[in-house]
Amino acid sequence: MILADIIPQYNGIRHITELLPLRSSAGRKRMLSQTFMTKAKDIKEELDKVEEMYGFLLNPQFEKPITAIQQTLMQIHDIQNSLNALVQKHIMDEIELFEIKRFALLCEEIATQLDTLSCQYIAVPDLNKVIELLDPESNRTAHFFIYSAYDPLLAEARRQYKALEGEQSDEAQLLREQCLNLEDSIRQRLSKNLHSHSSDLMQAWEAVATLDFTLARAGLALESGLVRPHIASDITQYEGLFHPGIKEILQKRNQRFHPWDIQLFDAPCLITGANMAGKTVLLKTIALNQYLLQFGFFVAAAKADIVPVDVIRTAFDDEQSELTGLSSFAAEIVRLQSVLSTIKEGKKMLVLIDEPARTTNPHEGLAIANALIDLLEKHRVRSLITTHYSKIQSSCRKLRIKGLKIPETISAITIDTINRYMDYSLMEHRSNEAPREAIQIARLLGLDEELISLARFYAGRNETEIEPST
Amino acid sequence: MPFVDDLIKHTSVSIIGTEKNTGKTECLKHILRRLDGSGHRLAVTSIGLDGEGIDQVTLTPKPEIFLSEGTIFVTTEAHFRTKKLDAEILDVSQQRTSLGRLITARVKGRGKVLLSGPSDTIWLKKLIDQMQLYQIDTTLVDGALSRQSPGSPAITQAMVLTTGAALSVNINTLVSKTAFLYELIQLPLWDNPLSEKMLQQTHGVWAVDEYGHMHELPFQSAFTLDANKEELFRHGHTIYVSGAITSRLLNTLRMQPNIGKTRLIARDFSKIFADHQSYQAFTKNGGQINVLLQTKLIALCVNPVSPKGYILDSVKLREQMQATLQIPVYDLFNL
Repeated sequence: MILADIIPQYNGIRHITELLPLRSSAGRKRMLSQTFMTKAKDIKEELDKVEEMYGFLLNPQFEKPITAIQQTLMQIHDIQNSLNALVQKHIMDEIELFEIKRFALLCEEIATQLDTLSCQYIAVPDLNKVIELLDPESNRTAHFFIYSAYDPLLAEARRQYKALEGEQSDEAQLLREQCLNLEDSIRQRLSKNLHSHSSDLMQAWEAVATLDFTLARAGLALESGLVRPHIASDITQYEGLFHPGIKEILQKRNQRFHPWDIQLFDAPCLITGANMAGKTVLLKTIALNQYLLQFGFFVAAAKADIVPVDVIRTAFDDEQSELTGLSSFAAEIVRLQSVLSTIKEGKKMLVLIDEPARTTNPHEGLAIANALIDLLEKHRVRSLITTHYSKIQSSCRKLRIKGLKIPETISAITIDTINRYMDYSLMEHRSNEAPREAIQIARLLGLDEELISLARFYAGRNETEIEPST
Repeated sequence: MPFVDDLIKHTSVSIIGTEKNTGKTECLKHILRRLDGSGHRLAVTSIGLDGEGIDQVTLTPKPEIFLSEGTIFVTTEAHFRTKKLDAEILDVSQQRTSLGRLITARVKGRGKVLLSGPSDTIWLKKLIDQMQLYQIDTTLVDGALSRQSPGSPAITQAMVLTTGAALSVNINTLVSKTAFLYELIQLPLWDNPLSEKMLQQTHGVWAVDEYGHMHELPFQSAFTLDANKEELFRHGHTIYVSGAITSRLLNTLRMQPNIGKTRLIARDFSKIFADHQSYQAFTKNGGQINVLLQTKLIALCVNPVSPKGYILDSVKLREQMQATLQIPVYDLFNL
């Protein structure tokens, strides 16, 4: 699995990749092809690279070489086709030779700057041999021509042709053909010689792509306040966890994102809380950060210890999936089944499910939710499940988002102001009762009073019918 | 030809034909010949809107241009590969046209090349600006009158206009059509402190009230004007249309009771697509038209030969054109 597969599925990931300050199409391609890493060693290697660049960005002493690298990266054209042609021993045309020469000169510039930085993790191979081949007059400019310096015969033929002052004679025609033939053989020779450097050129292309992607990840970390996560082996633990996209939106409205502290063990954990308390956002944030780690990014938290997993399975509304078009219940069942079949394959998983079985009648819905949690417990699956259902039988860990605390004096709130009265922090929740604040919140949001009072009447009656003893 | 002396004072000059086959290419060739060996550093390109290569109207191949050493040219990848000259590649664009990327190159051994160029004027402007990198004195652009005309003073500093039998084989019609275009080119500048601010507005229709305040009117463009005409004069009678000015707009305005007080402002002449008749009716009724940017016309060249082979009397054509327009007119085909 690569990053390009995930971007269309999650708005959060897409948003992050849009924020990435990439400067070349090489870097962009590298980003899209980043694999989902599951081994701690691989992740660590990527994070080391990002951390090194992050350090360069923070140090004012390195501003000059970093700016020079960034500007050079912006000038790198996508020459992958030309490089592939070279590897396959095609004969290069002038435009391809120009592209390769220009690329080699830019790489040389980058290599010089990386030296100034004493960069440990990224190195661009020496392309001096390539430059020499394409720069017979030693001009060191990124221009290209089949220079007369390549062959004295060509120089002579060109001189003679020029002396004819553009005559239309047979002699001129012959000389012109001679020049073209000589140029062709020079291109053949150059292509052959360049081919022996093609692996260096390919490595340089990879290095430049990695450099751009890494520098962009470091830049993003600095810009969005991300931190280097530690790789843990049993407990995933976040302090000051946040969702960068939502934080940004709130900041624009002069509102604060309330970060969470949370621990995830290798067992299910149930999240309850009022409507609008941010249960779904919490799930999305955890999914996003797990992906960030495993694609080699810093993460959105003040401090993070994260256990890498083999598979992340989610079921929440954010997904733009091929399931659109199915009834909501059918889509949910398909998602749940994909979670279960992966669990049974014995893979190490992170499972995040928003309100399982909410799309059917509460009686059977509750039964399905209970069964799901039992299975997650049985297979010791690191998972977070949000629910509005009371009476989840499981003894699993339960967390509750504290929810609304509205002063007596406030009689109406709006979708914009509700944020002020919501306590987003997580607390351990012992009871198996889910909070009942839906009617209250609906009233505060201004839902018709007649409906509210009828709803209260029915809620009370349900209570006595279902639970006559309390 | 005296106009070439004027031309070299500008950093960018477009060569605009009133119609296909009015001798644009001949004019470009003439300028290149005249400046060959003068030491004046030239760059040439074209705006490749019609896929060029083959003239879309007459289906005749577009002629290649002969370039001498040191000249810089910009053409598309497809045409660069068919060049019959030696050239050092200076740059390859990342953006693509339908004929591939744009290649900027310097002639190392003279010969012929087909010119094509960027697909829009924004890109063209960027290219012209880039020519400074190569110490170019003047960039010549082969172009046409169209929505993407490089003749706009926002794109090139000055313009050479070519007209001829391809536009009309009747001398009177040809002169009158050309005179109308000349009148548009000569439209007076709107001399007002607000004009700078107006230039920054590239979208919409705006009005200026008597206190000199600009108000955006609720129209996307002149095309959607009919929907609520009464809104048009809410803020006075000075109206700036940032986009195209059409016959329909002029006819709508002419019908309004306040036509005598109406002043219409266009960005530049290339935005006016109205026909002669609507324009005349508008101005005869007292309407005024101004521009924010004025075009510098360096020369008017005529081609007496039509693509179908009809040949006008060169002397008569030139004399009549000159008498009507009161400017020097050149026939590059009969020098």
